[in-house]
Amino acid sequence: MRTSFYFLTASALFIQLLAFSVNATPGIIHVAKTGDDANSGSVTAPLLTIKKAAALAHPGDKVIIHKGTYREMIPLQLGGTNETTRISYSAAPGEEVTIKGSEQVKSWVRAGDHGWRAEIDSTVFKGFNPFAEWVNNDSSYAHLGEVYLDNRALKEKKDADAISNTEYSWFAWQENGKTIIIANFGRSDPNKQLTEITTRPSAFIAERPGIGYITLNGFTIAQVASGAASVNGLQPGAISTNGGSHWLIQNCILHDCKSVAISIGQTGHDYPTASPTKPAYSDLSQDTARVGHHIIRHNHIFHCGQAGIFGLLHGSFSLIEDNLIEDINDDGEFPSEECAGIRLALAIDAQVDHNLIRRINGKTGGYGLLMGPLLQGTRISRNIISETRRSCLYFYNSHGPVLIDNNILAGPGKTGGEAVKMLDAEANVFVQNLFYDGGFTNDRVQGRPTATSNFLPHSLVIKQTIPALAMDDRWFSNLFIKSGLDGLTDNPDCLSDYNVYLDGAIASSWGDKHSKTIAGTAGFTLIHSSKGVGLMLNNRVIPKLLSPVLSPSVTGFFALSKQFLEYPDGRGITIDHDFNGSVAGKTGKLPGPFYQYFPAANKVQSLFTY
Amino acid sequence: MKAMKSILRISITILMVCTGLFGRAQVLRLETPPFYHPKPFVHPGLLHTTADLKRMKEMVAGNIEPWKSGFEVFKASPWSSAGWIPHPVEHVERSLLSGAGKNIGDLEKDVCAAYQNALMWAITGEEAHAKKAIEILNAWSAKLKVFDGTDVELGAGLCGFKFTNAAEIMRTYPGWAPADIQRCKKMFMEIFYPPLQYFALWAHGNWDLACMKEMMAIGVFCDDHALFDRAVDFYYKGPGNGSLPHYVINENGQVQESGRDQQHTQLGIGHLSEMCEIGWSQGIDMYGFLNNRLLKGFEYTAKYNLGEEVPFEPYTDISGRFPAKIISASGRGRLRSIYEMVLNHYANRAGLPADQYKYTKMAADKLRPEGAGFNADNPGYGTLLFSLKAIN
Repeated sequence: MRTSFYFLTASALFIQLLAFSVNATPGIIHVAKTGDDANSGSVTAPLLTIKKAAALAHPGDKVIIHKGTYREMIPLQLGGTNETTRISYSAAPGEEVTIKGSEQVKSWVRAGDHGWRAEIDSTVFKGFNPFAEWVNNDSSYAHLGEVYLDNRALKEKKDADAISNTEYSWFAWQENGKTIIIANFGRSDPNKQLTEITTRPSAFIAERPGIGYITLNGFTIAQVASGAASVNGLQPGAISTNGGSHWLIQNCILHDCKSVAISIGQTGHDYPTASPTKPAYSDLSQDTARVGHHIIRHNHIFHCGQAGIFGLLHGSFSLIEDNLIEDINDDGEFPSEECAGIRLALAIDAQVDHNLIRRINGKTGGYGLLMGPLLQGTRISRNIISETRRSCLYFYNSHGPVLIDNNILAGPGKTGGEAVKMLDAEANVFVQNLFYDGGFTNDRVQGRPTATSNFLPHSLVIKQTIPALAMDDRWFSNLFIKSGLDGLTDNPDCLSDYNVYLDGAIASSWGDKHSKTIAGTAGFTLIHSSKGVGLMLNNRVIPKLLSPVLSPSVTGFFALSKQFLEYPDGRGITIDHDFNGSVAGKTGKLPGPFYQYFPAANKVQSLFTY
Repeated sequence: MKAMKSILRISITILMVCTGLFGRAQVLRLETPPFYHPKPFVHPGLLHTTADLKRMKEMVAGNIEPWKSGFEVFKASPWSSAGWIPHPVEHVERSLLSGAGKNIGDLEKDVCAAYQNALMWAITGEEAHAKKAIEILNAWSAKLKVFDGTDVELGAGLCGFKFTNAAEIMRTYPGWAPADIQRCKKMFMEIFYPPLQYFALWAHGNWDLACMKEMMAIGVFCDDHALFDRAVDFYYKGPGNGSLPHYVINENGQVQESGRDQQHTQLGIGHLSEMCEIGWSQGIDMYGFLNNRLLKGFEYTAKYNLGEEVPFEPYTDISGRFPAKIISASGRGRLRSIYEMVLNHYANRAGLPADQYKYTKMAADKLRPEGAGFNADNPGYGTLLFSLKAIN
């Protein structure tokens, strides 16, 4: 007995020592479904939960998570302070790691001919019950909660009686401190199949603002009851940086998040008393070293209700590239105007590069990119955006400049709205894009103009707060198919030239001196696959034009923002590369995102593969 | 990276000029500015040449009007005192933001004191004033490192202009060490010039003009002809509200800010006249541009502020941000000390018929002797500084 006591004590001390050693020097912490949170975290004695690893991780540590499904929310209490002290959380190479915001339910009992009933104790929810909260507090839409059968979401009904005659539906209410769910699983027995309900609002969440230098790599994150986000309010997400900076989020798959998949924002608020002496957003951080600088790369986001990527302020200095974002707001009923593939506000020097964004639905929103207010030095390049309920791009309340180059934007059609919507958004420079069937609007808000701030270049220091107008926009070397610029009036200092208009697209009436209008069609078709998209285009019908190389001296100096089109490091941007990285020659080039003729008209050009 | 930025900045400094190529453009293009002035510059050659200073000195010494009463007002200003204590700091901020505006008040007062002490020295010959002007210039050039804020263009333009004029007068004083003069030039080029180098195309015209007049002044003081040419070019055809055709918008003399208020309107036409006066010092007649358009702006403004009615054409300014449907009565009747300079040019140098400067003369007569120019806004004291003829 005495021996056992000493043995146990010594073992406990040894484990503590191991844990201490993990903490004392940067190291590797392993997590596995076979582990135990009392373990050291070594490869042979892994921890059981990621949460425990996060509690132990110190700057510089690497947490390796091994295969399996982890049902937990991981609050991050510490981050790094620079690249060398980054704390990383990665799926072990070659292993599938899924983090779910749901719990399995096996206690279903028959309720009528077609229904099943489960009583969920409040302890399951640990203080957050998504079946007791409405999305955006809007009871006309849906609860935050979801019910899944074999990873397929069932449809929520507002009427218990509707369950019996609607397969794959559910209805929930609160009763005596419990959550009661009745559901129709069709012919399936929910106790024999995988039945899950969402119970957590996030997977990874920074516990407080300002946690930086976190890496998340290689996870599948699903079934998260993330609450609705608003630029002027809370901005939760399945991954929530919570006002942190310098996160690297890559190679992750995020799906079935109720609202936002990746939130890189921070809590915002309204500015009802904003004025030029106290402008909106002037209370946010001006410390560029602690803002944004995220890299969000090569993630696949789908079946999320509100947005793939969302954020106020911390899109600044961030790079969002090579992501596939699709099937956002599937039912089209999400109660927010801020539904988009990517939605950023106050995004200084943000770069959105080579993302495929498609099937973005919406009731009042549904944009490919929803950007604003306050954009400056922002670059949107090489993205493919299609099948959006509303505009592919929507910019508002911004002094710019914003560079939009080499994108392929398939608009919602002439009757569906515009491909690009600009509202009180100045200095948007469109170069070498392909616009298919969308058109533009460029308007000002009627009534009293909104005072909009701009910043000292490449900083967050507010320089001027004055109304933003519809002016200083540029269209150079674009390819317009079916819809052109004919809907735009001659706003102050808007320029358009060296474009080609095809298949009924009409040039502007106020510019386009050297542009060409071609009567024929180029047979534009986007060929979508499950993980990518290709382009069919007979670009041999497009004439080459001797357009000027767009160097900073040609695109000009944007006087209000006191900058040229510039990279975040201040170098001027010369736009002399196309979508594929080809360099402009001296003998003319094709307008649009491809300088050269394709070898064959009927060959599919790959644009994006996840 | 820094090298790239430097190259970009230098190339802008060398090449950039604003043109009206795109009409209501607020995007600056890079083009080589026209050459407006044959080298070398006249020194002192800003608001006051050697001949101007000599005239003031002799007239004041001879108790001749209107200089006599003009000097009495001037001398009574605390900024004309050799006992002025400067308050130099490292960081000055002119800002509209609530709670901001660090040290701008100290700078404004000190530049006025430097300018007025320089003039006091030139008029009275008293060394104490020369030393005070130099002390203020040296103190700031030794300490000032950062000038910023939302309205830094105004701060740097207005304060810089009086400071540069003070320095231009004092450059003839043998007691100002060459090293200190160089440091002062460096301050103008590296602290005052950068914020105003791109003008202020988004703002009311007085912003552009604050930038333009200080750019012109630095150009002369630092013998930098490119700066001088850019400012003069902007006066003639700059794309912002500050160019003469965009500021005095028509032959009636309506001013871009007439629909805003009368204080800013007078501030802006005052700036225009100060540029013209520097041009005149350097042998360029900018006063006469567009058939004496500047005078028409003064006549229109003086007439309205003296209580008469003027025609007003609804107008949206060149930036598109400040539409005005009616003339503004805000500040009406509060004449600013800007009229003597213009009156003396058109009446005594240009020799125009009296009916062409009728209201300008009435305003000048009403104010005479002109007092301070409202902080650092305009030089003021025009009766002393710009009178060309004795008045019985």
